[in-house]
Amino acid sequence: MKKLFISILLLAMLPFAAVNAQDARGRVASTIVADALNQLPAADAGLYNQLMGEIAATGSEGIEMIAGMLKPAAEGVNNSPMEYALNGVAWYVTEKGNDALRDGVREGLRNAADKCGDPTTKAFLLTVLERCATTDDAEYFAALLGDEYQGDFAARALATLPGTEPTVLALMQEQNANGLSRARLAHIASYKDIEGAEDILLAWAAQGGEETEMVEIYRALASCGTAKSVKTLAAAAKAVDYGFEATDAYSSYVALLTKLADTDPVAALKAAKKLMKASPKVNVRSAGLEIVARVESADVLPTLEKAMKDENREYRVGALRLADDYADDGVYARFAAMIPSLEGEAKADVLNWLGTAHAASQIDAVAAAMNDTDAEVVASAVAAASKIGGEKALAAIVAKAESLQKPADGGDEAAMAALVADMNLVKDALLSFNGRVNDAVVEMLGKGGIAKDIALAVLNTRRIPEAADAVLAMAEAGNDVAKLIPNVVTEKNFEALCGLYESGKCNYDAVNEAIIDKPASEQVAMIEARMKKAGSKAEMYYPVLAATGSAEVIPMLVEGYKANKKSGPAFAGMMMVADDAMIPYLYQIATENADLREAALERYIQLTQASKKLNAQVKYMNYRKALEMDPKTQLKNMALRALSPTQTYQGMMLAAEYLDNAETAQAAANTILEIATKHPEFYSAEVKALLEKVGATLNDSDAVYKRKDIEKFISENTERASHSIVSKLTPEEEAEGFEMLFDGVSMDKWQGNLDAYQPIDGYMYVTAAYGSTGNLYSKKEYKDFVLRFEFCFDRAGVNNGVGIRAEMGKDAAYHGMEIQILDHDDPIYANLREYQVHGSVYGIIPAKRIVSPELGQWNTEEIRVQGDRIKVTVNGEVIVDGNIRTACKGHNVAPDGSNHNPYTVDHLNHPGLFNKTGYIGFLGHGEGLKLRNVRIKEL
Amino acid sequence: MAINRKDFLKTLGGMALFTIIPRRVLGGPGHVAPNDQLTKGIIGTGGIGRSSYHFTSDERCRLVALCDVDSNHLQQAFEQAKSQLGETTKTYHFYRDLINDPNVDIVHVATPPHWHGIMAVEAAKAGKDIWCEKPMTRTIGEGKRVMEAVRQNNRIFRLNTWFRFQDTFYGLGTTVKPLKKLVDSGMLGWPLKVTISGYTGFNWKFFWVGKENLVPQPVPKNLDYDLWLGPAPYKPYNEHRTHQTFRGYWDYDGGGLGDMGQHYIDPVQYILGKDNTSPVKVEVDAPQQHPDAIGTWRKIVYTYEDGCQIILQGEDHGDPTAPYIEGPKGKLYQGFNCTIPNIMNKLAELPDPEPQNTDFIKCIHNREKFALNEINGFRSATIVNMGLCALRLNRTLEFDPVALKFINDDAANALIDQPMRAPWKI
Repeated sequence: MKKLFISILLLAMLPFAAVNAQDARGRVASTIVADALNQLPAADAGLYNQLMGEIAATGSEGIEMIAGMLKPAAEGVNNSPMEYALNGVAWYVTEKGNDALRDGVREGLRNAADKCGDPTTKAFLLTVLERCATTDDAEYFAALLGDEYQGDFAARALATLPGTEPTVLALMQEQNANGLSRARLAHIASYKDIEGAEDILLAWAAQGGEETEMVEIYRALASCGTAKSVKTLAAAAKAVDYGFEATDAYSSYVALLTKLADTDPVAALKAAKKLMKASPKVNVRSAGLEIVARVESADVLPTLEKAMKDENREYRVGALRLADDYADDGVYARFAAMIPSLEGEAKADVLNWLGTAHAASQIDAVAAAMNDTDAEVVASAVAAASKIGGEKALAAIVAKAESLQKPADGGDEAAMAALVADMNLVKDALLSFNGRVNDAVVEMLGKGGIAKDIALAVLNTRRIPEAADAVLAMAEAGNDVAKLIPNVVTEKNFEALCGLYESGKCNYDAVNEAIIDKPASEQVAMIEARMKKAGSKAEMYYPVLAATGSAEVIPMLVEGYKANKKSGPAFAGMMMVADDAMIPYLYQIATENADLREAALERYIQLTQASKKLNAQVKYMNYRKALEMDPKTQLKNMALRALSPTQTYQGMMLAAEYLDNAETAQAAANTILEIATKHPEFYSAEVKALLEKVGATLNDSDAVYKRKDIEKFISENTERASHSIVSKLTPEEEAEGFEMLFDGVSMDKWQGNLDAYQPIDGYMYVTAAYGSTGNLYSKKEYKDFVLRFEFCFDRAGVNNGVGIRAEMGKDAAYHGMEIQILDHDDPIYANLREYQVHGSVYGIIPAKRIVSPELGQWNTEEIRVQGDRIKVTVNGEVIVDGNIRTACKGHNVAPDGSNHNPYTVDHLNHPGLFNKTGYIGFLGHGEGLKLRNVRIKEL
Repeated sequence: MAINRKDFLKTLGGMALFTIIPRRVLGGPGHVAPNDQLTKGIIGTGGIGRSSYHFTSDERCRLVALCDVDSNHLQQAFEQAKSQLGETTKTYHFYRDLINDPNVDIVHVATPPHWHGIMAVEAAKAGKDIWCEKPMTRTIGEGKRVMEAVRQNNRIFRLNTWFRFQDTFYGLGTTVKPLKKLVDSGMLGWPLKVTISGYTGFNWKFFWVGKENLVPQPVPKNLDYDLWLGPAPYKPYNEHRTHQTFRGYWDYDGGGLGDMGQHYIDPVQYILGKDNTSPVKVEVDAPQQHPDAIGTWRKIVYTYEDGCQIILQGEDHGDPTAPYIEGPKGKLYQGFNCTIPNIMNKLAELPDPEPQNTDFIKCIHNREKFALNEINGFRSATIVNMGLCALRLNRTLEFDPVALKFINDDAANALIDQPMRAPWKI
């Protein structure tokens, strides 16, 4: 491949001035374009910036060349490299620092669009031009406005480009003469504020028209209009009863007033106040109010206060939201002071607003509202106090709790419901209270009654150590508070807890919770010490020991279990220890104790899965053993799911055995999916069939997504799976003395860019790389030889080359020789020179042009190099058989010492052409070339 | 079940009281006064619009109208409403007819995203409340318009992703609530770095990619393609542009990031307390994007002014050991594993986060903002859209969270406010 790694710095400011100009490395625009197109889409930003810089530097020439390669999509062609190039370059030249290249790109796009006959392609070019256009392109787009297909694209460009106002205004002024659609012109104007357009638009509005025209005129008046347009739009909005309809008159009117709020506040205010009264529709009144607020700023507050008396809740809350913009303690106070005089819902509205705003200054008013008779008001007040926080708020909430009472004996269901609602209200307020509630909760515990019930409910989820004494006393007295105890205890409660535990008044976890902050070994020591004092109750402590999580308790638990081999505290403890050491014990219990089998197996699977030490194979074996015991469905599914993270082939195939049973099919299917799709190397016809079955089996909510994953995976891997071979020399080649250079696996005989040249499934794949360090070289140097290999184009436009007698790290085409490898029939190479086609000795001996092989087809090639004679044979056909010395009449460099060499076909110097020896290289950038079976015989 | 009130009162302990009251005495859904019953209409009855989460009708809110530009979808939805919900709905071809139906209170926008902005704004202008599917809008500018229209017309707006207030949050194995608590506690320190990757439990759905070189096809008789396109630039029909696969095209959505972005990122915005601001910078590592078909990306990094970062790992899966949240004082991993010992205990001692308004119907009645509304929903949609702009331009962008503009980049700003195909305008 012939590409040049060029310095953008050198080039960036030197757009090509003339056809056939060359870049710093001697490339003409067509070569730069072809090189770039071959590498698109760019794999990363670095390459993107480089390629776009190179294309942009060719100026309009390269742009028109690329655009000229676009074909109508209906022909089913590959336009995407050109689309990547044009769109990318358009955005590239808008980036800071690249401005100097912008004009050339714009010019190229305009010229290309003018020449383009296909409407869809032309629309694409206009879209791309819009991305990098400047005000100077306004007239260009304006000229296209009348075009049936392109008019809309041109209109959008004019709408979005800054500075097009004079152009649009002129078109509007001449509308009678130019005959352009008023709707289209007004549509563009509606994106702008065009001075001078208002009178025209008003005249058009007065003349009337179809709804499709009026909607654009009204919208344009909203953006270009002044107070002068108020009357027209107000009338139009009224005519449609301030509703939303096809002419959009109402919202255009509101939009105009919104604009006037800044530019002509007096007019805006007058009209907005009218609007507030013009319609009973609450969104219309609200919109009027919003505009009044824009104009009046804080002066609107009396109006907003008045709105609190409005019977419509939507309007009231809208007014409060507007008041947010001016909210300070003074404003909060004004609204808070109104609360007692408001209706129930309105009170709630103000309280909700104060709470959301965390208006701490108004806590007294909020607290007072907690005693309202309206349940919604109380709820809002309590919630607001909780958000506001502080001592007063907390005291008010506690007081509320203490005021709650169980209904007297005659209370009905409604009274009960109200009480429960209030209790929930207070509980939620305490749980999310903005601040610390511990002391308050303890206080409530001491009060008894409903307040105590609420405090206990809080302790259900909130941890409050200050409540320990009260709660433990309750437990001691026989109240069922076991669930709460872990939420209150600390180390000082340990002995007391043990006593409660032994008498069945709390659960084992409370004991653990008390000492959880100590190191595990200290916890174990404390528990063991207590066990010794516990006599017959000692075995109760097995779960407590287990819950420490320490491995040192395992022998004690095992001993305890062996004593009776039954379900009991020791077995319960064994089930709790999360340690790999438990795994064999659990399996043993499962095999020897039918009563405990399912429980032990479940834990066995869990621990295996959680283990960080066991490797995937051992885990697979554990799950297999569990499944072989044929446990209940739930455990089978658990084991099947656990197979997934083993990511083993055996795990996948084991899951496959469970695909036919409806009860296990989903777990099995997901496991197969999760393993198979992460391991292309497992892929085979068998796995394909398995995945297809999985796709048909899956029925969960993500099944659609998963089937897409499967389809994608199969399509990506089907081709890969069809071969996987190590190449071997034929007996004939072996006899002739050939040596394998690349056998499909080993890269031992190669050096250089081993990152980009990767052995995959029996071939060498060129992934992506570029520049002087991007090539692959043989380890040895070769003088005269026969090189044989097979190649395959994996994607269109592949460009590579074989370096002969090459100098390491230099451009082999000039420092050695390069035998082109090129998919030269791809449209991106439309401007190729004869000495660049596949097989050519680049720049020296043109090859006979073959038809580019189909993508995916493997081809054989032989390059015979002996002295000055080069012979290239592709698929049995000789395409080069020449002498490099006679081809340039012996002048590999220009006799006059210049850069222009009249003797070579590319007119360049090739200083290394007559190298006696050198490396064999693959000179690549860009993905898509596959090589295999590379072998050589030295002559 | 009848309860003997007397026994009931005698036996109740505090906690029991919270659990055994039958639902019917608590009011709520069982006791909706007829004039409090709301109605909704769904625009877009393809995949999401007909999914069980949205296709509902009950006493608090009845489904009364459906709209689609594909007559097949509309017919299927009509029949589903009848058989599944027992509702005979009105059917509309043109969404404005549904918006203007006086029997519709709530407009549910379930179309592809290129329509979300226009429909939400128009519903607001018509005085309707709005339920909008994610992503909120496909440009930052459209999101801003929605925010303004909802304010000016005084509407209630719900953006529909829900992880900030309910459901297990993907790989964290918990709801978002304890995450919020942990972050608010300051135990992790500040600023924080949040990594959304396969390793922290989030899968970017990269099959939402478009196809290049689409060959024009005849438009099916059942589809009004011109109206389906609406504000999007005209491009010849190919079935891959529309139903189920539209996400792969810039004109209509944002690929895997558009699909899952707001689900994954909105809760992060909430956790970090960034509901009223936006990142100031976005950096991308991705292959060049095609002008029409959306491709994949490796990594996207957002940075807030205070140094907090949100890192999206796509095809570059990143560090397998990366925590979900990393702060100077602690790290939190998938499954809520935390470097701070006994973390759940410590969190149990702290106040819950401020309650969120998660009952949309109640919000409509009392006009309080829904938990995820036009303001914070706009901000999380903006995070997604900033990323999409940077991907398309393949460069780092800096953003002004107040002016809502990219800094010194006209081409990026042109993506904020993209002009629409006439006669559509937002």
